[in-house]
This record gives sequence, C-alpha cells and structure tokens, in this order.
Amino acid sequence: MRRQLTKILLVATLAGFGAVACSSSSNTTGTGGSSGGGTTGAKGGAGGGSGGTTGTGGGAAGTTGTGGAGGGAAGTTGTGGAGGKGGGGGSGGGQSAAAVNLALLNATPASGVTAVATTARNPPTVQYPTCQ
Amino acid sequence: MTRMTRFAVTFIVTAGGLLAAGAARAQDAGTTPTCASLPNPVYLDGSSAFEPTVAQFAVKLNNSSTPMTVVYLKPGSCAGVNAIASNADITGTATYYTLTGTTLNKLSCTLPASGRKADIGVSDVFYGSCGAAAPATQPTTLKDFPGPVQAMEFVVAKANTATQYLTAAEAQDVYGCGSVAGVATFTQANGIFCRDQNSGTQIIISDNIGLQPSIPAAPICVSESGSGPLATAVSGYTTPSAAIGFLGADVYDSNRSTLNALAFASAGQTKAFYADSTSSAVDRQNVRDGHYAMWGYEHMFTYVDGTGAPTSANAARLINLILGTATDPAVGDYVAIEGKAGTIPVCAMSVQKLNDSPGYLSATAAAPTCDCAYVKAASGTAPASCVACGGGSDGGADAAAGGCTGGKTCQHGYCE
Repeated sequence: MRRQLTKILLVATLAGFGAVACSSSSNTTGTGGSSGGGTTGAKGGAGGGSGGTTGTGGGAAGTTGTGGAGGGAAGTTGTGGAGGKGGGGGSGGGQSAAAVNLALLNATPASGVTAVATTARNPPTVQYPTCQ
Repeated sequence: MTRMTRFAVTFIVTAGGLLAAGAARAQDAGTTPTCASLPNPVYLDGSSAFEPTVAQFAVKLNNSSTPMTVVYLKPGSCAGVNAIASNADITGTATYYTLTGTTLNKLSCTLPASGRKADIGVSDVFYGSCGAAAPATQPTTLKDFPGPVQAMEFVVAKANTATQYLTAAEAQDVYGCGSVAGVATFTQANGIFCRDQNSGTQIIISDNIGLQPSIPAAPICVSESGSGPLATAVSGYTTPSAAIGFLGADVYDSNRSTLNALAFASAGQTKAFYADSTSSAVDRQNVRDGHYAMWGYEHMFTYVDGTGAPTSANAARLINLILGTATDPAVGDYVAIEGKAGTIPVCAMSVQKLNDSPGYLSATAAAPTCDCAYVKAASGTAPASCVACGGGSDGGADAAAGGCTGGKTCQHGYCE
C-alpha cells in the first residue's frame, strides 16, 4: 500500500513538473503546456504556463483531491486554461487584448518624455454622435 | 572581371546615367518624359504618406550599379490597393525622383495612355481596412509585405501654440460633428481639414477616434487630395488658431517650420503623448514603446509565385531593400534611410499591431533590435547609453565584427 502510494505521488509530481517545464515557453504563438494530472490525492499540475503572445494556457486537471491550481496564464492575448477538476478553479486567463493595449498606453513613459495633462479644456459644445 | 564584363558594366551604368540626365533635361525644357523611357522603372501606386521615405530610396537607386527608377503614382492607399488587387491599369502623370546636391527633385513622367500594371500597391493600412474600396477578398497571390511604421498626427498651424493636445473623444467630436462641437479653437468649418475615406491616413485616424472613415467629409471638414495639399491648407489658413488637419509623421517632419503636431490621448489613456518624446524631438519614442497608438505599417502589396517571392524582379528588389533583407552599396543602411525620412523600421519597435481596427497594441521583441541606429538616424544623436561598434552598416557584418558585451551583438553600428 505504502509502495503504491509512493508510486502515485511520484507520477503526480513528475506530471506536475512536466507541465511546468513544458509551459515555460514564450514563443509568439505557442500554447501553454498541459497541466499535471494528479490521479488521486496529490495536487494537480500548476496549469499550463504562459502561452506566448497569442497562445492558450493549459488546464489543470486533478481528478480528485485538491485539484489543480487552475489554468495558467495564457500569454498576452490568449485564453486561460480551465480550472482543475475538484480544485478551486483557475485564476483565469491572461489579460485581454484590450487590457494589454491599455496597460501599454498607460505604462510609465520613457525618461525625458513629455506627458501632457488633458484636463485643462472646456468640454465640447456638442458631442458625437448626436451632435446636438 | 574580364575586359568584356567591365565594358558591359561601364556601358550599362553610363547608359543609365545618360538616360536619367536626358529625362531631367527634357523636363527642364518643359517636356514631360514618358515613365517607360526612364532607366529600369518600377511602378508604385497608392499612399502619399510613404512618399518621403520611398523618395530617399529612389534617389539612391538612381546611382546603383544597376540603376532603377522609382515611378510613384499617389491616388491614396486604398486606390493603390484596389488597382493592384484588381490588376487594373494605372494611367496619368506619375512622379520620379532625382537629387541635385542635397535637393530632392520631384519630377513628372507620363504613364502610357493605355495604362500599365503597378508593380507594388502601397498602403498605410491593412488590406481589410479598405473595405468596399478594394475587392472583398485579397487575391491569394497578392502578398502584403508590411514595411516601416508610419505615425499619423493631428497638426495645427505653427502660430497656434495654445493647443497642445487632443483626446480621442475630442477628435471624434471635431471630425464627427465639425466646428459646431466647439473643441478648443477649432470653431470654423473651413478650418477643419481632412482627406477622404480611401486615404490610409484618414482610416488610421478614424480607427483611433471611433469614427467610420467615411464620416470626416464635407460639410464637417474640407477634403484635401493628399498629404502635401493638406499641410499647405492648414499652415496657410487665414485664422491660424482655427486650423486643424492630420498627416503622416514623415510629411509633418518636412513641414515642422509651418506646423505643430498635437499630443494625443487614446480612449482610456490618462495623459496625452506626442509621437516623439517631446514636441520638438524627432525620435518617435512614444510610437515605438506603445504610448502613441495612431500608427500603421506601410504595406507593400505585390504578386508572388508559389514560393512567396515577388514575380516582379524590380518589386522584389525595392521591397527587400526597404525591409533590409537585401543590401546595395549605393543605397546603404535601410535603418538610416527610414529613420532620416521619418518612418520607423520594425526593428526599432517594441510594440506591434495585428490589424488597424481595433488596432490593439501588444509587446513584441524584434530580434535583433536597431534602437540606437534608428534614434541616431532620426534625431542625429544616439542615446547616451548606446555603445558604438563594428563600423559598417550591415547587420550581419557588424554582428561578425563583435566587440559587444553582455549578450549584445553589433547591429547597424551599435551594440543591441
């Protein structure tokens, strides 16, 4: 029994490590690695890692027990993997494309850049689309 | 080189030079030459915003060991896309370029009355952004070679120093409602200038302020036929404070003595930024790092064979020089040419776009980069943190020259 448990733990652990290992890519269109699959007891893999710029995060899939930690981040514009079965669900995918865009626009500018405040003007008389 | 080969090369170069000189003399005498009579012409059709950059390549190619004349027709981006996608003939009077000392000459030549096909369609926008102005489906053999980045800017007359910025919402009101919106000092209908819905510049601007490209039109604004006429219209407007328009940044650069560019804040952006780091700088810092979103690639459309290679040898030659995938000693470093001409080589960009609308920015890591060489070319001075290396301008040769540390390699004369 003890030997059997050890085997299960070893398989689960290796699966989890495998997931981490294969999910560390940051290619532009890659896909995050699949999650670890703890069969019983052990925690599932940490989920697919970064899926690159447009990739898809892998899901965590612990069948029973504590389940996986959730889908990994899916890269810049991808979709997060599903949460692990029996687990608490993933933390969701990476930022949406719109969020990434906004983060870049509002990031700290480079040294020496003039950032112009946009609050010093009267509002328009009329506004699009009614123009009235 | 055999005597016969030397003779042949000398003959070709001399003949090419004589042909070019002859064409220039013909124009001096008041006769417009036919474009076909110019040495080894390559025909471009489309965006006027890319002209300043293309012209710099053109004058260098005139002096290549195998001269080539760039003949450019500028009906606007989507007209160029439509012509090449429809395989239509182009006609009329086109422009070619020569250099007298440091003065760029824009000369006219006549296309055949029966027309001829363009080798390259030039567009500031992706194919899909042209909508009904081009065939609905891009021909499978027509390939888009995205070239350097062009920023688009709102411009006002030089005398207008009171207006420094425009937000996307304000610009939407100005170009969606007109002078009645009363934004800043833009309160005269005849002082608001635009292009047309097939202009790449207008499409990029419209995409970034939430308007259909067809909305900025009379009576909301006064439509100008090209970037040059628009620059003249804004700078020459009788009430300088009421004039506003938009231009490609490379055209703005050549009109800085009569125009000011405005800082721009995209929707959701908390501050406005110039395309450059300051109102007077020329470094496109905010375009390159994602603080300024009104930009597009200069797309070069040409027909390709089954391997993806252009079927027109002259189109292939020019595109490869502009992309830096080929070199010519007479032309030199593409990063330096584009930087000086006002466009941004992709290797100097740390953000990218996959489309014009919504045109979301995302990070990219061009490898290898060329930031130092670009800033040096654009502004005249490389950033203090840049370390010079190599000595040549060829990325490969410089890389082999080494001399860089910290995992950097020598690119275009600097450790990157």
